[in-house]
Amino acid sequence: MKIKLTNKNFGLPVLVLALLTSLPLFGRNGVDIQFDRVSILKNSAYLPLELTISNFSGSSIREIQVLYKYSDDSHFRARSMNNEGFRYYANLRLDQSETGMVEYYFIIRYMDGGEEPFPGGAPLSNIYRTAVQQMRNYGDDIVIVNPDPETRVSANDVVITASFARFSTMVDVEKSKMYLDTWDVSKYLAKFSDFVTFAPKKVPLGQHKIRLELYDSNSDLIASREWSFTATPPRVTQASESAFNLSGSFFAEARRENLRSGLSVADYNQGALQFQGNYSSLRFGGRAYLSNQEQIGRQHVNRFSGFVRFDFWNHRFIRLNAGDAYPDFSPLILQNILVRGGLASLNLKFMNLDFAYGETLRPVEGYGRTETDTASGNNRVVVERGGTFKRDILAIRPSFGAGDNFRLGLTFLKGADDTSSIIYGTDPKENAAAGADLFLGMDQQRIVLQGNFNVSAYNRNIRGGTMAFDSLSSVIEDISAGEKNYYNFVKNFITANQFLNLRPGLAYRVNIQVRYFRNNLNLTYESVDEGYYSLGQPYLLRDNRGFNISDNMTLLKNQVFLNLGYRQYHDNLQNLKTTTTTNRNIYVNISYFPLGNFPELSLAYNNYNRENDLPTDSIGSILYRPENNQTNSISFSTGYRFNFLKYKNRAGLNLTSYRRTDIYNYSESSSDYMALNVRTEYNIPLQTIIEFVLQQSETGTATPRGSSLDLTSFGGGIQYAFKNILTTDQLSIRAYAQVGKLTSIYKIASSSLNYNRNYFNLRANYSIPSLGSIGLAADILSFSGDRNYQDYIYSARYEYNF
Amino acid sequence: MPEMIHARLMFPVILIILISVIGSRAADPVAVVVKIIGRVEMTNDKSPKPEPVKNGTVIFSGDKLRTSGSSLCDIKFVDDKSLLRIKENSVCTIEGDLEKDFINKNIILESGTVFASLFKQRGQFHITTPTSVASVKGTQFYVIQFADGRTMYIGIEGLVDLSNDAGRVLLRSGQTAVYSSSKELPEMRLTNKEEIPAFTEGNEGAKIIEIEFRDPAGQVKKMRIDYTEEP
Repeated sequence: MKIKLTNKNFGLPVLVLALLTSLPLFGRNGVDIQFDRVSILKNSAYLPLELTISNFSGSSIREIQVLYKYSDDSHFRARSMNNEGFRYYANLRLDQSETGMVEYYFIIRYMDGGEEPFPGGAPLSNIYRTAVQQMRNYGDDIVIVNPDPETRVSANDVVITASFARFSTMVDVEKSKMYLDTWDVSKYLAKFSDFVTFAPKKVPLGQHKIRLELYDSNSDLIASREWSFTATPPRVTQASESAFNLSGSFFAEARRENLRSGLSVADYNQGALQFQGNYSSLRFGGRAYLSNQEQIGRQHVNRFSGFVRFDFWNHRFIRLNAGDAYPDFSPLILQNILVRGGLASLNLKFMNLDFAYGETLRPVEGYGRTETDTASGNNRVVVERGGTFKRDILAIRPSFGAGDNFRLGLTFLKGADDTSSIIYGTDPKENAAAGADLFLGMDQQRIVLQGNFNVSAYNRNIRGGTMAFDSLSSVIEDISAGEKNYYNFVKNFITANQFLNLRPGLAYRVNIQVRYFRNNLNLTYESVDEGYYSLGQPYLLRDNRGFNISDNMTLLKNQVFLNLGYRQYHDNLQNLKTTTTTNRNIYVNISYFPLGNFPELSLAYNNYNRENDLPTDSIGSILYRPENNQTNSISFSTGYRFNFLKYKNRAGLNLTSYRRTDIYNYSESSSDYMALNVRTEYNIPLQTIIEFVLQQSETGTATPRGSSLDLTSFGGGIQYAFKNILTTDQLSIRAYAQVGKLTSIYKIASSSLNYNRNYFNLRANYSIPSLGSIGLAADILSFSGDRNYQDYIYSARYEYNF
Repeated sequence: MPEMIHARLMFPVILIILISVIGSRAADPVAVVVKIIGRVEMTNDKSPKPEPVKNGTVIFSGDKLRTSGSSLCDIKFVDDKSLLRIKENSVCTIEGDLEKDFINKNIILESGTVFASLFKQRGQFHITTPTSVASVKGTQFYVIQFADGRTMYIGIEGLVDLSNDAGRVLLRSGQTAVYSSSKELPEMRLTNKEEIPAFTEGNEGAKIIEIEFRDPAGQVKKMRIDYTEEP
């Protein structure tokens, strides 16, 4: 269960109480993760994700990333989540032209270096899915005739006009809707075949938002656009291009963790200021995040960034970033990595240029000693624990085309460790990569062809610098003429010595999408050599080749989503390994989200098979592990809204069954999970939730090292909001309790643990819109039985939006 | 026999109806009035009687707009939001030829002053006067048609292609072209700043009367009346 508190919805009498649909209930031991999955997202450009984590593990969380993709994509994209107190949140930008299933999971990284996926077993055996109901939105093709966005007009002279000549044949103009703020003004619209207009006699002073929605003859939304203007008193009408706007937010938070009944006590303090504004065609913004967890011996925790952007005309702009950023140039060269430095983008549509330079790893000194070699008498460094070298990257990407129907891009990246940045480090690396990518969209992007081809040079240890070829040939035997030519070419870009890969690494990907008749057919073929590296892409699965074919179908007016797919990948591309491992994955998801008030249903089946060609009784099996396993998971979820005793209720049920069979019995496992919950909204600002969770897991039960875990828990929560106590303020109070019983059995120790796990949290939030909000929270985790201790986390937080 | 007469009569009647339906194909809506100050009237072939124009009035191809003294009328074309500001004491006809997804525009200026501002132009944009035709792309300029037959163009931004029977000239930013007739090239010179019509925003020509009065509760209140004077 999760209760979402937001100041922005201050006027709402009832805050949102969301449902727990997550699996499993816990992360690592002592970490409570609460997440409410959005089952369906309609016509939205963003998927909001939010985790609430109560961390009693003793090791604070360094970072949480969400990895996400459309189910027919082969690659996950990573994005760091923002953090405010217990909340970790991100808004995933979706492809607005694509209807389908978005799959995602989270990676939680701790300060102690550990990390874990959430949900457990992700992404192979468990993953979150959200159905995206997305018609292609032609909103950008709507011409805002009047009033111009963000202008000031006389309250008596407001004429709202927008045209859509470019796609007027698709529009059933009689179904057009226009909203002035929350007021539906559709019936006042003068409607023509390619534009609509509305002239209110007078609008109230102040800022107003217009939303235009255009529908086709099937009543499907095909275009929407929003814009704002400010109504001024009639005699002070001014052109407002020069108006200066600034907004932002600030928070400060203090948290104390008292774990294992006082055995470990730690304080965590953090604060952040972020702002954005615009002046005429100039936009700017910045963010500073400070934490007391910032330490010289770790990677960056604090974050600083700022940007300015100047718009020329029609979305052509130049943008400069300084500080921390995640540049996204090309999926196999530069993506998913934090760069502290500078970014610049010039976007002219017909030609664009992106540039990035900065540090991706800060230097962290290792441990070691300096010895004198008895034979030579020279000093030498002995590394006992290698540190981290400072790593810099430089990337540049010219591209041609706006990307609507055509774009050709070229990406170059150079990355290198600074060998002088630390003393005790091993194997500083250097890399250069270059690639070309092409995007072609045809028939209003119903047919999309995109691909990229990349090549890299990689040196796994540049300590000592470049070695002359003559010296190299004395170290490495049988260097071919081709390898010599490659060496001579590559040494112009990176350090060339005996650790240089003497052949370029190749990586390529081709993707074809065809969207007709409510089908979205997707075929991807890709290959990444084992020798392909890019220091700008840390999450690359190398030595991997295969294909993925899938079809997303939306049926019955977007009420039914059917997703079928098959993936097959294998490694050992260069035949350098003893075995070749092949992964096969079949998946089927079907979801029904009715337009009327009927239960929503989702059913998913996933089969994953991994095998290599090594028999268990072969000699090779002594050195290498034979693999042949099958993982099957079936999940079912349903939800239904109903009124009972005049109260609004929503009941949800989630069932998941997971089975893994393996030629090695100790790797076999199974898990069954059931969660049932009921949420009720009362006529007063009161919400309640009750839930019941049952989970049974077994691992290697047929072996002497088997274990099992049984969990039964019952939870209940209540939230009440007081409004207008002293002024236009609000106080919300939330309490939640979950009592559970766990039984763990470990065969190897011939022991079992039986204990009760009780979790309580209390939240109070008081807010006054003009002054901000103060939140207090207490989380208590109490164990009794074979485990007997308490964990406490207290926090206080102040937030202010401007 | 009566049937034959009836049939003979029906044929021309149907023919006339068909011709009139085809011939009177509804004009295309091309622009919207987004700002009015003072009194502005509109006429067209169907309605020769002047009709008052107000904010939000839709302009169809062929509509003729007439502004009075101290008046102003801003219209925006719906395909590309090109702005045409028709200043006081002006008469012009708006013509628009609707193509696939843009409008070829022609403003026939009989008298007075218009200002055109084209930002993301789609389709052709012409201003036709008794002496010349201006073809423009992405620019801002004034056209003033004097009662004595002369036409003055004042370039504010970008280029304007001017033509008449005598040939073509380019009008640049900061230049003024004055045509005396359709047979002669214009007199070209640098713009005298005093010649540029005021780009008036707000209630040009509007006046205010404020009357204080006391309401039944005894509170003093103020009534404000905004008005414009007829010329």
